[in-house]
Amino acid sequence: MIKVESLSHAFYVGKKNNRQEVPVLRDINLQIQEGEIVSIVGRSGSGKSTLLNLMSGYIKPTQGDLYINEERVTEFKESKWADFRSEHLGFIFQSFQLIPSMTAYQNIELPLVMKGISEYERKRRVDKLLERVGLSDFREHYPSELSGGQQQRVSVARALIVNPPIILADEPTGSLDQETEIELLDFIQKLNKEEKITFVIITHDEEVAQIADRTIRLEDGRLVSDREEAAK
Amino acid sequence: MRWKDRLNFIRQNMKKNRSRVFMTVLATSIGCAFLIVLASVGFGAQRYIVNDLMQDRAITEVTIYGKQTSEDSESPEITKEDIETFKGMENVKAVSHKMRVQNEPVVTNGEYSGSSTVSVVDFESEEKAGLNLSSGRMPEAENEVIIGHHLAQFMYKESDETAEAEVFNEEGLVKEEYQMDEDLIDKTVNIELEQYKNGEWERASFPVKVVGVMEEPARDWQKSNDVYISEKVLEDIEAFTGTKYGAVIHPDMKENEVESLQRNGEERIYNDVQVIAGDMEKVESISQHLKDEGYHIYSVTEELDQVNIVFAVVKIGLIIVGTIALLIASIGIYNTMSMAVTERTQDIGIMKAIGGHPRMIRSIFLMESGYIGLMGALVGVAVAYIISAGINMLLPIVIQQVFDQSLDKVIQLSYIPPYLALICVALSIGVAMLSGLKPAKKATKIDVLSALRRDV
Ligand SMILES: Nc1ncnc2c1ncn2[C@@H]1O[C@H](COP(=O)(O)OP(=O)(O)OP(=O)(O)O)[C@@H](O)[C@H]1O
Ligand SMILES: [Mg+2]
Repeated sequence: MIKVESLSHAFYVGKKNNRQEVPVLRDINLQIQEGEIVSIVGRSGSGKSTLLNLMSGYIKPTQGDLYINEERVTEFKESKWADFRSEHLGFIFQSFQLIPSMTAYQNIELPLVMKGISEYERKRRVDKLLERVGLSDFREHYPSELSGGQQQRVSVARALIVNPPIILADEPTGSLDQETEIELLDFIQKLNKEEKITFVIITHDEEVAQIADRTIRLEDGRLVSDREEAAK
Repeated sequence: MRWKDRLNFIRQNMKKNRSRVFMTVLATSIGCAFLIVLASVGFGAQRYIVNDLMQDRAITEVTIYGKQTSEDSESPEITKEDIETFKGMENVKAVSHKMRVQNEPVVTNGEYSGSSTVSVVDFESEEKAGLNLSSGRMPEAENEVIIGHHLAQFMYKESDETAEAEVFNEEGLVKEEYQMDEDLIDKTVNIELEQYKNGEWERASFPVKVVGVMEEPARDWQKSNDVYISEKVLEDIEAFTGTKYGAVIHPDMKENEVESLQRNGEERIYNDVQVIAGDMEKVESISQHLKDEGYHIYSVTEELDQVNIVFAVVKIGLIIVGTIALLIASIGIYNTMSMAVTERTQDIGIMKAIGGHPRMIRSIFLMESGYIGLMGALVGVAVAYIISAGINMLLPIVIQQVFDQSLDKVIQLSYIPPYLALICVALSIGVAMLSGLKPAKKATKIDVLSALRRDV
C-alpha cells in the first residue's frame, strides 16, 4: 500500500548566505500493507510528523522514493498531489483543522463539494456519516459550538467521506481526554476491520500503540525498530 | 467544483465582511457610472449631429459635379450618355438630372411677377428620385409645369409707389404684405425672357400651365422658386434666344463668345445631376464606383465618415478617462481581495490539505473579484442611467436660465447606447478580475503546513 525507499529529508534554515542543512530523516525504508494499522512513535523532534507530511505530499523529500497505492508519488506536481489526495487519502489532525465558518455538515461535505459531486448524492453520504459518528443532532453546529471529541468526530467523518483506502493521522488523540480517546480508537479499529482502511497514526500514546498491528519507532530521524504488536 | 457551489461559496465568503465588500462595490460602481456618463455625452453629441445630417439631406443622394477625363480638351460635363451609365449601375434607384435655362427668367401671373429658376427635368426620373407634390399632379402635356413650394412668395405687384428695396425683407424674400396670396395651381403663368437681338433688347413670353406644386424643401432655410418645364418649352425658348439653353447675349460680348453660345447640334449637358442609391448602405459603394470612373462627386456619407471618425476618437478619449476611474476602483478591489486571501489563509490551507485543487482555489478568488466587478457595474449602470436622464432633463432648464433662450428641439446631450452599458459591464468585470489575479495567485501559493500551524 505504502512503500518508502531510502527516504531522506533535510530542512534548510538561516539566511541565504548562511544556510544550514538540518537533516531530519535519514534513509528510511518501510512498507505498509493494505488493511494495517501502523503507529509511528518516537521522541519529540524525531521526525514523525515530517515522515507523515512527506506521505501527504505537503513537502517533497530531498532523497529517496515514495510509493502509495503502487503509484510513484515522489515527483508529483502540486495539482497532481491535490487530485491524488482527494482520491486516495483521508486526513485526521491533532487540532482537527475544521473550517470555523462552516457547520459540521458543511465541513464534512467540503471534500465532496470540491470534487463536484451532486448535491443530492452529497446529502445522502453526509447524512449517513453523521449518523455513523453520532452527530446527527449537531449537523448545524459550528466547530466552536462542539466539544473537542465532537470536533474530532467531524474531522474523522470528513476524512471518510470520499471513502479513501488510507487514512493518515498525526496525533489524532493528542487533544482528547482518555475516554474520548478510547472511543475514537474503537471507531478506528472498527473502520479498519469493516472497511479494510489502512491507518498510519503518529502517537505518543501507549493506548494507540496497543490497537496497532505494527509500531515503527523513529529516533533522531532514523528508523530504529519496526515490530509487530504481539499483544494484538 | 460545480459553478453553483462556487457561487454559494463566494456568497458565504462575502457575507463575512459585508461592509468591506459594500465599499468596494460602491467604489467600482462610482467608477462605472463616471465612465458611462462621460462617454454618453460623446454618444449623445454624435447622435445629435449625425441625426441632423441625416434629417436635412437625402442620405442616399450622390451629387455629381463633373467628370475627369484623360484628355483635357474633352468636355468634362455630364451628358445623356453618362446619365444612362448611372441608370445602368447596380443599386441605383434613380438619376435626377436637370438642365437650367441660362437666362434670368421672370414668371408673371396677372399683375404679379417674380424671379425664378427654370429647369428642364425628366419628370419620371424626378418622381423616382423622390420628388413629391404638396398639391396637384405631375405634368402630362408639354406645356404643363410644376413649381417650387415658395414660388408664389417670390411674386409681387410691381408699382411705382413702392421702391424695390421696400418690397424685400432682409432674407431677400418678398415681404408678406406684398406677396401674392393666391394659389398658382391650375393657372397659366408666363415665363418671360429677354434677349439682345439686332442691336436692341427683345422680350418674349412663354405661357405654361401650372399643374402641381412641390413639397417644401427639407431644410427650413431653403426656399424653392423653381419652375420645372419640359424639353419642348426649352426648345421654344432656344428658338427665340437663338442660343443654347436660352443663354443671354450681352451687347458688349465679342463675336466668338456669341458664336460659342449659338453653336448648335451639340449634345445636351446636365448641370444638376444626382444619383439616388437604393438604400443608405449602398451609397458608399456607388460613390466609390463613380469615383473610380472619374466623376467628381459628393455624398453625405463622406461627411458622415469624417464625423464618425472624429467622434470615435472623442469617445475613445472619454472612455480612457473614464477607465482611469475604474482603475482607481480596481486598486480597492485588489486591496479587498488581498485581505480576503490573508483572512482565509487557514481555510485555504485546510482545503488544500484535504485535496483542494490550486486551480479551483484560484478560480474561486477570481470569481469573487469578478463578482464584485459585476455588482459594481450593475449598480453603476443603473446610476449612470439615472444621471443621464437627469442631465437631459436639466440641460434645457439650465440653457433657458443662462442664455435666456428656449430650445426648439429636444437635445439629448447624454445618450447611453445599450452596448456602452455592456462594454462597461465587461470592462468592469475584466478590470476586477485582473486586479484579483495577484491575490488569487497568492492564495494558490499558500503553504499547507504553515497554514495548518496557524503561524501566518
Ligand atoms: N519547516 C521546518 N524548518 C526547519 N526545521 C524543521 C521544520 N519542520 C520541522 N523541523 C525540524 O525537524 C525535526 C523533526 O520535526 P517533526 O515535526 O517531524 O518532529 P515530531 O517527531 O513530529 O515531533 P513532535 O512529537 O513534537 O510532533 C525537528 O527538529 C524540527 O525542528
Ligand atoms: Mg509532530
